[in-house]
Amino acid sequence: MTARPIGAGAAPGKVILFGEHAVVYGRPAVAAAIQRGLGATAEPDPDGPILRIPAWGRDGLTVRLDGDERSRDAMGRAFALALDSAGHPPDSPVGVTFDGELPLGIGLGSSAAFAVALLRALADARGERLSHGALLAAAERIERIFHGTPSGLDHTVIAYGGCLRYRRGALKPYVPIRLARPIPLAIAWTLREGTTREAVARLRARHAVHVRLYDRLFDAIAEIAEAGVDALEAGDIDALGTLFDLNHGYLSAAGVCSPRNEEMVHIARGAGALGAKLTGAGCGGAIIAVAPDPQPVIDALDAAGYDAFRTRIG
Amino acid sequence: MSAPPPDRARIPGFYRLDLPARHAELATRFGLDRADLSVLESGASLGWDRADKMVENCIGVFGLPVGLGLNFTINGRDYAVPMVVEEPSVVAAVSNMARLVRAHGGFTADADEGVMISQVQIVDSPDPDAAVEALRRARARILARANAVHPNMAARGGGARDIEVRRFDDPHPMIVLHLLVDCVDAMGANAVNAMAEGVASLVEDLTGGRVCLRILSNLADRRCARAGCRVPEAALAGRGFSGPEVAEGIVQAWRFAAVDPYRAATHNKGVMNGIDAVAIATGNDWRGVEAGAHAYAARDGRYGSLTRWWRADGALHGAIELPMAVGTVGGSTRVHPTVRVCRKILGVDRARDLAMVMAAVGLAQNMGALKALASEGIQRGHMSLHARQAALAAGAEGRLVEVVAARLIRRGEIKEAAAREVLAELRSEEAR
Repeated sequence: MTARPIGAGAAPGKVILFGEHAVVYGRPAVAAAIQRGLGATAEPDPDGPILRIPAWGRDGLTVRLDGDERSRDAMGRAFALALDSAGHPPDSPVGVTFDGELPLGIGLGSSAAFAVALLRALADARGERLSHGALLAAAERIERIFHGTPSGLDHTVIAYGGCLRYRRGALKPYVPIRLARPIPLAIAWTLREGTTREAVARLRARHAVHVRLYDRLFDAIAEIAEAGVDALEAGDIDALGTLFDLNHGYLSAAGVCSPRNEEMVHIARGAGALGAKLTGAGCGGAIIAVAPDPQPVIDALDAAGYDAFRTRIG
Repeated sequence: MSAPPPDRARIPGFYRLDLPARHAELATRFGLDRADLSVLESGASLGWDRADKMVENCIGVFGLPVGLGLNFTINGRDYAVPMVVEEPSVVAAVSNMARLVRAHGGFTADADEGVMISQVQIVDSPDPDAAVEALRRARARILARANAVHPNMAARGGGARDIEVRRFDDPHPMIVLHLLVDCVDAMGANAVNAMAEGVASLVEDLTGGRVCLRILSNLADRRCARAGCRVPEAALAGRGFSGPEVAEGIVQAWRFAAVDPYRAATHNKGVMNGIDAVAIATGNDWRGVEAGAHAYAARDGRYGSLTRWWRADGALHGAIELPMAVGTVGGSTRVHPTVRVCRKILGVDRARDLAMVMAAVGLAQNMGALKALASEGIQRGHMSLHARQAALAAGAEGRLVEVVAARLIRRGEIKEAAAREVLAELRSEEAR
């Protein structure tokens, strides 16, 4: 059927539904893959190894692996590592092309999706599929190149798909959650003001001063996350909305929501969302809203000048 | 020492059992429990609540019989095939033919990977030549975009695998982009539609044109299933007909469908009697399968037969090939309780295995219909031959032979004595 064999790989983005920040303090978090991500194709290419991402930057991004290994940037090192993990020689004549409409750097897991899609496409080009274990291990090493010490939540939920409850240090850190039905979501975003590391450090400093007060806040978020798991398993999107609102309130109290996060959340609620909250590290970045029909929510956010799209989990 | 596993396909005398006894067989052979059996008994297991979520203005639930097609051996594996159909004789005919084929090695079958075609219609392109070229050059990027829209498909080892660019000129100039998407075990309609939608903006950028429709094609000719069978002619003998007579009758009946669309429509309807019944039982979109089958039957520009029958080496050979866009995951396959029980009986997890079973069922159904029609034809032929012989024996001559033979056939009594009576009547009529 195919004249020129092509390796296909893809990976979804992710959202944290409940428990961001609290997860750093041992509380549970709930994350889910969304129906939008990055796709990669790998095919024989005499110029290879070469990585092309036409949609990134003004003229697209091209990564080659010629030259000194030590001079490579993060993308180059990630590409070299992926080639090796997927069983390609370092000078493999393979060209990888990326595309997709997953916004970058706002907490939707774009770097983990990049890693997983790249690994899948490279393995597929050799007619192979990586085992889950191999995929997770290689994705984690690539995530380390981009983020230093990632929690592991991003690439785990992105490699598995679906919805997971995560608790750091638990005997079984990841527990899959079976959704009763797909949940429609609106996602809107704005640029981040600072990095995840900075946001986490700022909160840690406050926690150190008022340990009991912040622990109580994190306990409340933990309780919300557990109730959220029940709502997801029951397919109760009204309850999910209420729990989004509650979780968002605590995140505001924790001081991780920027004025634009607050504005997006309020626009979403005003346009018929059952509930809305910050997702990810905050200080800008993305919000999620649940609504039976996300389109009016998207339209309202769009009218206010925010980038927004509809998607679903499950 | 454990007993050998109960036979999955062959249940002698099943048709003579009453319903509770048939259910007892289902429990032993397919591991159906009390809950499964009560789903089959209730007749409306879908329930009001679920039905109301499936269609608009729901007012009730409709019941149909579930029959069990027996005796299928396909690629050496045994199957009992649940079939939902209201027409009598369909299940009996398919089981009889499957038994005949099973006695001589069973069916062989194979199926393509689950590749569906998603179509994107592009109009008003200022430079169609350049647009076609741009699409072909951006193949890798278009496929990446398509897979990004539905990442689960690629994660399961499927996904968008290739593109085709087709150009139509006057009177309706347009460019049509095909995404070839391996849907693995899903029928894939939702994913494939989402992918066509997802590449639309990129396609507009590449072509300078405007994207109109973006939707799957039911002519799923990259997802064909095939089945074949071979039965020694001697095994076809029966009811006073020799094996070669029956084989020739079947081949002659097939030739009719091969040359004449009016016959081919009926011929293929018989094929689909069985295939649709399995599609319904397994929760698949049988209208989609129907559309694909008939469009495929007309792929050479004239509507023809989906099957082929021929005689060689003292055996009757049959083959079928048709698109089979069916899935074993997603859609109504997980919503409907009866579908779940039928799937348990069939014991098929992969969509390709289901497609092979359905192709074999279609071929068996066709064989049953052709054998019955051909035997009937032979019967008529024999009758007029015998009637003529009886007329001659009774002393009829010239044009009277045909007249006497015709009256004998009408009376349904083809004997010399009867022929004498008829002849006497005719002579007295003439004398008057």
